[in-house]
Amino acid sequence: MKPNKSYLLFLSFWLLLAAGCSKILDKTPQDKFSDATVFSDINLADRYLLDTYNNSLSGDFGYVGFASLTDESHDTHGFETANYLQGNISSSSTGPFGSWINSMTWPSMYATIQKLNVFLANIDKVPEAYPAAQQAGVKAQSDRMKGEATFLRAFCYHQLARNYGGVVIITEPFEIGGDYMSLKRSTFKETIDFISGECDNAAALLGTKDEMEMGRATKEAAMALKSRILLFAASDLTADGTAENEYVGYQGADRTALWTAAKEAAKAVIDLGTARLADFGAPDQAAVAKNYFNFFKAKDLSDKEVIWGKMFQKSVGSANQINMINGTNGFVMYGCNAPTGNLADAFEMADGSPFTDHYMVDNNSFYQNISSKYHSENMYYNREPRFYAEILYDSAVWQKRFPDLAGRDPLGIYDRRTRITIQGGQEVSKIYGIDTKQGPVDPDDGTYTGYTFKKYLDDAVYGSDANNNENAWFEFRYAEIILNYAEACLALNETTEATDYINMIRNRAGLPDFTGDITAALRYERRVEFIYENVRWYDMRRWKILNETLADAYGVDIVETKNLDNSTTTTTWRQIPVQDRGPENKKLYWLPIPIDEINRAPQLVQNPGY
Amino acid sequence: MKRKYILIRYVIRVPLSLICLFFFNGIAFSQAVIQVTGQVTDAKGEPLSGVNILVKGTTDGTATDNSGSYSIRAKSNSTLVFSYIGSESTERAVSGQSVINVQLQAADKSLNDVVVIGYGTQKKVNLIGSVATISSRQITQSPVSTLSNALSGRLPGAVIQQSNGEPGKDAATITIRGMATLGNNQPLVVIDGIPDRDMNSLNPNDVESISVLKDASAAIYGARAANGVILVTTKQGKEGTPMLVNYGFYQGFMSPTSLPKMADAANYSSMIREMQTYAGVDEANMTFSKDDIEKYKSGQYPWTHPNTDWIKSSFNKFTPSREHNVSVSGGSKTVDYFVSFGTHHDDGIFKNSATSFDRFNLKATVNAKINEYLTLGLDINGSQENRNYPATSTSFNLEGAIKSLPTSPAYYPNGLPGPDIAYGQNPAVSVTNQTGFDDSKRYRANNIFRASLKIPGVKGLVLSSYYAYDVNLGQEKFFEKPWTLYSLDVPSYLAAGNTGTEDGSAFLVGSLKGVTDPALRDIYDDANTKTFNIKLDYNTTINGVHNISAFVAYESSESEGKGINAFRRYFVSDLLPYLFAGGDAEKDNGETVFIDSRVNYFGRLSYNYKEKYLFQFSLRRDGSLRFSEQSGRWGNFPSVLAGWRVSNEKFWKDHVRVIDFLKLKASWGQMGNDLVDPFQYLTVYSPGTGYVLGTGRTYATGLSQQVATNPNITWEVANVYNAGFESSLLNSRVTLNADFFYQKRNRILVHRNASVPQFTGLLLPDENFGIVENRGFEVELGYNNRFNDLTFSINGNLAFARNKVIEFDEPAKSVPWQRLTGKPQGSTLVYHAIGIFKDQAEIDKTTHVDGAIPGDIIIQDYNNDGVINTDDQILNTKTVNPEITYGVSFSLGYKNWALSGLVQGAGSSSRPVLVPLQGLAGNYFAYDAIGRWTPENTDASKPRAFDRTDPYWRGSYLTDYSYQNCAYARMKNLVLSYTIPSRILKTVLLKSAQIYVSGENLFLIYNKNKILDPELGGIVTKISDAPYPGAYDHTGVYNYPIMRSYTIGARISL
Repeated sequence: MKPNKSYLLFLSFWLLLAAGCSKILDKTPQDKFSDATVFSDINLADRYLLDTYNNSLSGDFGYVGFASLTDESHDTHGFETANYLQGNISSSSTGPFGSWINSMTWPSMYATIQKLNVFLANIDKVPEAYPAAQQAGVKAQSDRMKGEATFLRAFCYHQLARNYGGVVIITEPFEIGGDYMSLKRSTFKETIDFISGECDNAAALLGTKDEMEMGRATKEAAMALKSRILLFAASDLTADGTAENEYVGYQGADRTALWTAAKEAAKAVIDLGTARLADFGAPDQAAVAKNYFNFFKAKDLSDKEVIWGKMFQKSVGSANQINMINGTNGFVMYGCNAPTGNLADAFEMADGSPFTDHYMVDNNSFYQNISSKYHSENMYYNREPRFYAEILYDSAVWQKRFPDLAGRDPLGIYDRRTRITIQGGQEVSKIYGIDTKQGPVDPDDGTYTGYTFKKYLDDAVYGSDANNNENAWFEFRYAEIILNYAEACLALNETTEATDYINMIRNRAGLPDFTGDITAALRYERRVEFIYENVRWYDMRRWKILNETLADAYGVDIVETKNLDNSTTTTTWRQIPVQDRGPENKKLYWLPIPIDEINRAPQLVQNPGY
Repeated sequence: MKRKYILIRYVIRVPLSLICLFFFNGIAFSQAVIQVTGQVTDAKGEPLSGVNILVKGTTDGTATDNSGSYSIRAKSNSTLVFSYIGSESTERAVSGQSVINVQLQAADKSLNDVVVIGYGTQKKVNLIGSVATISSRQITQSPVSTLSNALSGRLPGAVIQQSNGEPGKDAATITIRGMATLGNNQPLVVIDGIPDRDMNSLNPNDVESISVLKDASAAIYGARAANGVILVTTKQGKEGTPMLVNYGFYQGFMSPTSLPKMADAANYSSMIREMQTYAGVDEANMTFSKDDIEKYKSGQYPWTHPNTDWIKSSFNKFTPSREHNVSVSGGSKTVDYFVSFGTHHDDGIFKNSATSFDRFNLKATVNAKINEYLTLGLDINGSQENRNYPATSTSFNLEGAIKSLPTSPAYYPNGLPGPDIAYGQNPAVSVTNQTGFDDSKRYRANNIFRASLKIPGVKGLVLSSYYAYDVNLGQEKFFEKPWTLYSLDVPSYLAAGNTGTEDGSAFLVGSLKGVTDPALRDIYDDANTKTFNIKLDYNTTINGVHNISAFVAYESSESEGKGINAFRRYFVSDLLPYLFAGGDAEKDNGETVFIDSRVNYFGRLSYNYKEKYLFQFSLRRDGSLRFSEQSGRWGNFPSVLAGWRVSNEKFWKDHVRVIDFLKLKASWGQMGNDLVDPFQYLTVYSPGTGYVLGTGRTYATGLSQQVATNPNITWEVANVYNAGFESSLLNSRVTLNADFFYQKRNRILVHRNASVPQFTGLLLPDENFGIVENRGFEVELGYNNRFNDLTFSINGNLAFARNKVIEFDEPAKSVPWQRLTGKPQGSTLVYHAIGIFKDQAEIDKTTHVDGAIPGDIIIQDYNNDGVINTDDQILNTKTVNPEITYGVSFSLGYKNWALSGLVQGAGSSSRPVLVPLQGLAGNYFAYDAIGRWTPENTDASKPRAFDRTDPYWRGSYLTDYSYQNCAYARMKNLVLSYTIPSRILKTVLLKSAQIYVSGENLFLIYNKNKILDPELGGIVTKISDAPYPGAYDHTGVYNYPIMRSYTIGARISL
């Protein structure tokens, strides 16, 4: 071969390969959408909004429910809630907040607010990207979406305001290198006024629940949010004049005006007339117990009582694992948040009388029947319907056991009693209940209190698929509006109106009208009606009753002794200590702003007590 | 016609040969032809392969094999000529000897030894960069499946640690000269000139050499060079060598180097009682009664009160591993070739294990000289890796083995498996394929086409080019199904009058665990990378003194890949693990894609004067699609290196006798690091978690911005300085080399997490603002000698690297002693544990965390302000990345016997190892159990019994009590080999044969980690992956243990 032929061969060799290598670096990502695309397409913009929905509303289905920061429940595993309940949190060590509870805290809410600010700053561009003929239609859609985003942002701020007081209010998107050192906390008043105004703005843009796609923000939701935040603001914690500074309460507020605003906000929802209380079949108490439980198994938000909430789908999106989280260890569930004896004993009897009128705890901590009306020694008989709908107590029928235990427990009960057999004066056997800490399954996840939450569990969800619940989370229920209204009326001394609305909730639950103190009656209804709905933690703070609600938690130990010598069987219910709580620590009325955040922005004023 | 010719050839040839044979045989009466064998070693006593041996004055020749052995027939009065590139030819008279061992002296101290330096080679003596090398013989000395594990301790300056011993996932992590950036510290791996190929999919037997470019010599790789470059060169045929067939195999037996020791049943149940007593738990809720503890202690009640050692129950003592490898190589004047095939197999250590790993490698390299000017080459590297695992993850099983309660049986006395702690976690069963399987196959086809053209008419001018097309295909089948575990119906068992000692078979109830129904996920992915390179080289010598070597080049690369996965569940039967057999409900699928590309222009000029004054300059201009065209896409990366071979000076030769070689060298280079997510300069939205809407509850994916936009993002810039010397003394008996380096990394890509308030809601992108200094040294010292038949050598290396953060994101208000600035990166904030509270009195007089009780850890009130808060945290500057690494290798040879070994270690490092699931949720480490505080043992060194993260010192206040010092030295490798004498080989027609026994990770000479193997968990290449207080997933506790292996093997050549 001649040299020049070699050249040719060589050149053709690499020219062939080099062909098409010109635009190597001019590429755009293939797995992402660009800015320009997202805010010029109404469907993509909507997808962006969906992400913010998911982040704004997580519900309270986490390992540590807010319930376990109150007298509702006890956190079985010691997920740092004791630090809160015993007043051992600080700005350096925020206990469960940040480690176990992430969803409604400072960083997560602000991350969502930024996303919503980006959305609100760009959404008006969307219609402009469409041909003139389509612009009006797209604009109608984008305006409604603007209403949704406005609502979601107000919702995030309301979480912050209820946890931290007045916060930094940001309504424009941040960019890298933005000026954040000049931003300060707004006062509590400014924060509430902002949220309340945004609720109005959102309500004006949104359709009613009938008009909106299920799950989206609605006019009712925006109005319910306003009712909730104004009630919070008017309460003792922030409006009784003792707030330590302007960031955690009003300074010299007109209390009547605040209550009136709260009352009107609730009344506005009532007057809109689109929501109504669900009918559980009262006065048939058995029907109420069944229907009330089923109400919280609903997979969608279609019931008229539900104003707004979050729906779940198996295996996709954010998961609802409440069966796994709160279920009983006998089914290999985690038993995370366990109802306290304090809560179980708070439920009234079927006739509306207090439990303590019928049962007392003796000096040896045993429950004794002292009733002149109900003579069962089993204190779980003859309770009000919501007890049976919300709490799993010893021997309550629950789910069919897994095959390995079906022989021992054919009925599938919540098995919490210890069975002792005595023969010849000797203890010959002692068998612990399946769902106890000493039971045969998963001792770590047995609850200490002797109870398990039934509310929000789905008895159709079974076995190891239990991390896949589909029941919806209800953020706003009409019952809350009713009781918000009653509370505001009561504060304004409109007792008759308040009485009517309190009894509305009681009667619906199959209970007669209340007797006795109206404030106690109102607080009882809020406590029992909204168990595990993340209401109690805010109520106990705004009513300033931490002294009472952070009392030591107790549970129950049940022993059934069968004496073969005299053929008798006796059962005892004994109150046992579960967790030392309190003593009341004033700082727990507010959460600390994390020290790291104060270090980043020293202009932020820390909350009292931290 | 042709056939006839061949026939004629044979017809003529055969009788001729016979005549010759007869003729020579006739002469043999006076001059006998004998079989001569022996071993050829280099100046250091290490065997040399590929040494040509010729009978002087004839064309009869052979070459040495991998072990340096040869065998040749020669007349007893003839002379053998040994020649080898870079060595002086040596002649030996046979004089009737049948064994002639030869030590070749480097030709004027290895004058012609070459080292691969990236886009070329350089004579070792003229090398001015800091380059560590390892030869094929050193690599194959370690019986390991992955190449990265063969490098440990042998490459000074490379920090190599194995974090995991699992078959198929046991590759070591490598960093070079420690941690120089707050971002990603991974070095660039280049195999046969192609960046980003996977080192660990290679057959280690196919590797010719590895060079590690540690200083400015890496600058020729520009924007990717800052973390150092590892160059792997695979074997090629050699021009003019006879065909050589090598076959090697070994059989290995592996066992864990160390496994954590856990508390036994009596200890565990006592601790739980103690813990519950401290927590004020009522006797009614006590998990264990006093009676239970006595029963566990007695060991008399295996049915109700067993004492299980879960690790023994789920781990075998040994597991096999084996390898076969065959290669054929050789070359004529025009064509050379290297063809090899290898297989490697590792089994899992679990009992009835479903774990195994197989790799098959096929390599074929052919170079053909088409004519005087043009050479074409083809290199095909194919590999297949099969990884088989149970459907449960290794961490699930290791967690199971560690946390499962000793009070629960792994197996009942009748052989049926016991219950899980939860979720089917009984490792004795979940490590098997009763849980389903997770089997994957990965196929790689790495292909290079080469051409090079000597430009006719211009001597020394060569144009060369290569095009590589690498294909990477993977498929995975992940099939889960329920498995059966048994539990004893204790009430019925006891009610029937049993006590725990009697057989309870009749009371065992089986139930299905794990998933409720079989489910399958199928994953397919494919990716390809195209690399194109063209280079113009020019080499010349002017007036015999000015040596010039230069090139300019262009290179581009493009990668793209995608993956598809599909899911089905509700399989009616587990017999057909295919999608079509699954149910229709909840089926799911997904797709992923990626792209990457780079364009580079570069060149290098090397000049030396009489090989005395050495200079090298390089410049590279790189473009990467990671960055925007407006700012940061293109970067320039220069380097300058200079050296002086002092020993070549006349005055030195005349006056300094002891030091026979001395070279001084210095270098500077500017390099980049672009290991960040691409497209951060664009505002982009990725699909993510969505929301469920509508009456039909329809789920739609959401869109969200993953990070805020940083339009100005570009690469990091490293200024790397190196100075050092290389020397040999006493006739090359002693070598001493040292390098000192300093690196300043600017524009490091980090997040401003510490200073940007969270209320901005920004998901912070990488920004170019960090500055880190990194400095250190490497020293190598070697000695070799021989006394008659005894050869020995020892080589030690020691490296130290310490980095210091110069510019970092600190909060507006920070605590002085907590500022990372000035401290090594990766330092973590921890509280300092200064003891255990003896009693309440001690708590009362000591500053303590609210809620402290006796037996808790005392946290130092560092600033003495009477409160324990975050201000009392101090920086733990000993990170998971060791600052000191060292290795000592030695070899001893006596006649046919050779012994070689390697000691390797690291120092100045620590990691947190205590996992959160201890207490009711999991067993305690014996480390925590033995010597713990109890009301009876108040002078304790370990804290009281606890549950999970309940006490403050295991929750928010993580202390240095939870850290273990990870300094260690281990007997990494030891090989004893025996070369079979040629008189035996003669009868089986082999050129050479060697058998050997070897051990890897034999034992720990020194170990400060009281709980785990010190390497488990590994170094981290990216600071954001480093363990931080409260993070437990990188601690290595749930990693598959590192394996110690014993192997027996053989290598033969024919």
